[in-house]
Amino acid sequence: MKVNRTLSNWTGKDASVLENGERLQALLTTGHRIYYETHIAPMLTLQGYVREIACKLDRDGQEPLPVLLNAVRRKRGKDERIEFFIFDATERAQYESSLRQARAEAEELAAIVRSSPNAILRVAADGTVEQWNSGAQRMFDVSPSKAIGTSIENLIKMKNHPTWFAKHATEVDDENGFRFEAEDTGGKDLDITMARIRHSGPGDDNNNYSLIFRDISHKAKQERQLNVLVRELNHRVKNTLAVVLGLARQTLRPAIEKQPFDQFSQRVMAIARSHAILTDNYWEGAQIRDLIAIIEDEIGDGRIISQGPEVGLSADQITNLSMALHELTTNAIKYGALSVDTGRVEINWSVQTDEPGQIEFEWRERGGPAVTPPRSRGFGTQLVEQIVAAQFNGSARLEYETGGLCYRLTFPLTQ
Amino acid sequence: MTDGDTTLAQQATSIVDRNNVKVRGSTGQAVLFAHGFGCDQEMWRFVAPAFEVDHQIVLYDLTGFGKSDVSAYDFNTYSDLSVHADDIIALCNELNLENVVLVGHSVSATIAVLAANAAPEKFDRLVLLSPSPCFLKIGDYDGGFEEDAIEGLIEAMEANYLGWSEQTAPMIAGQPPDGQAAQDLTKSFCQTDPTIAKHFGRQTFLADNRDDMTRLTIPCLIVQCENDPIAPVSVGNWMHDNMPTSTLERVPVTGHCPHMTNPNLTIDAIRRYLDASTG
Repeated sequence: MKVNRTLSNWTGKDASVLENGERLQALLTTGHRIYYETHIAPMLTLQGYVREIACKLDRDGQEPLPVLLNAVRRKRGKDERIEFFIFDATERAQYESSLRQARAEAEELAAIVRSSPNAILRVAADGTVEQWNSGAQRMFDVSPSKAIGTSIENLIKMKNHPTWFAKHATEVDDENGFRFEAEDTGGKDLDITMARIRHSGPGDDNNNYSLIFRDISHKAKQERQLNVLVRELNHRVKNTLAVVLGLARQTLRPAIEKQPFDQFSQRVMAIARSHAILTDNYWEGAQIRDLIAIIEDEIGDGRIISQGPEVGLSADQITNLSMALHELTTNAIKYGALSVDTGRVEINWSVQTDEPGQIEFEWRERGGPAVTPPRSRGFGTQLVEQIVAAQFNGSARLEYETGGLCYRLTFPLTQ
Repeated sequence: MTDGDTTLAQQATSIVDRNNVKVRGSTGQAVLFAHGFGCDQEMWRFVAPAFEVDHQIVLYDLTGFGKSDVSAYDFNTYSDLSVHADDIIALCNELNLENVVLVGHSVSATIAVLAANAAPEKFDRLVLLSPSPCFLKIGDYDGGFEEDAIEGLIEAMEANYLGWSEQTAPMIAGQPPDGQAAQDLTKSFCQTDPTIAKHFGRQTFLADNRDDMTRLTIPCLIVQCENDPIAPVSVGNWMHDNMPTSTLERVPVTGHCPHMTNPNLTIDAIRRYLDASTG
């Protein structure tokens, strides 16, 4: 081997050492040496030259030097030699390394898009499909070759809205997406959601849309079945309560007076009303405000003045509070503020600031007749004070203030 | 024709196409050449023709390499070298080859031994060019490399895949353009799907097939280059010591590809072995 000074400098080996029977491949790092023997040497033999091969020169104690290697075999008579031209490729190697990394990342992401169960599309501003992944092919039963170049409205038809794309693609709610019933080209019904990806790649002209469609037909079908079931259940519970009331009326009429029986049936109806609220929420609880609305409807004329934040209660709490409110309302109509035209009830509830998680609920009557504490305590009093307090794991007090009756319930907000 | 024959005939067509099989030469004893890691059957260009006079020459590309059907390289199926050995046996069945001389270079020398162990009745003798049953240093055995060197090789292949895809005309300083043929060669030669090359590279260089060597029952020739940085002399010696049916021939060659750098020496070594055995 004959070498120039540059190679001596790069490898840190004196020309006299290098020119003493050393072979070029011995100057490479081990991995590149294997590569030289298995790839470069055969190429050099078969085609007589190689060009721009990325290699690394081993340097004693220093980082290997990335180089580009060009070589050509030359014959002069019997003599044969290989001429190597080696270039420092430090910057190019760095660039290519980050390029490879970026490509690997891009390929990984592309594979995710390709194999996603969701339909992922690229659509031009006028609705022409530009990209159509295999998820889209499965969902809408159209191959990419047929889909690309076709208007999305011909491939995915929204029921009763043939020109849906222009309106809805621009107005998709980023959070929740847009849900609609669609029909594919074969006439199959689908429930789907559409979401739009806002941020697209560099150099994007922003006139195109990246859209993700999810087939929620299965989920939607389950929801419909659940709705039917819940309505049926509510209907049957109400019916059962009505049947129980009817049976009680027929059985007990000879033995019990009308007034206590009406009281009983109204209490049962109060429970039925709270169940109706809970059914609308799939029995996952309800808001205090939902209960107040029932009383406001019942009393009317703005005589119930309520104020309080959004507080969600569990199904059990709603049922109990509903019973308590029924007792208070009935009492107010009979003896309290609602028994005269000038009276009103103020209902306030708040989350305690000094004791986080504690709710204070207050029922205050004003403008009614003068209050006198009852001589005896009936079931209604017992219910609002003791039973409800115990169910809420809190405390309840009924105060017979002169200006009007006041009921205070304090309880911890359950999760 | 029975159903079995039909299946065989269909398979024959598929393997010949799938592995770019080329059959040449006379009607004499068949010599099947299996190329090593990194290239394809072109590697035998300087050696194989020398045997056409009195032998049937069979060349092929390993599945996943050269002009083989790359889509046939299933990453789960080709999980180790023995699957390539099965390909060789299937190829012999297809072409009805018997009493075959199987010549394997480098990793294909190992594959040849695996094939001969699996179906010894197919083969007469093996010729193992620059063989190494294990490229790693394990205990007392010195295969030449640590595992991280193999990762270095993978890195080198990745770095050059990028470069090669842009390599076009065969022009460097002072090199005259060699016409369309040379350009085609530049584009196709030694070009392998980078994912397959990595997969097969790891299998080749991380494998340990020493036990398989010791089980070989048919005769074999080990052609050991005197100065081979990939398969060093110590490996050839280990093989000769542990393979009772082996003959060791050292050739004064520097490098890992004697069939390319010193074809005449290689042809002579194989000739001598074949003549000695038949004589």
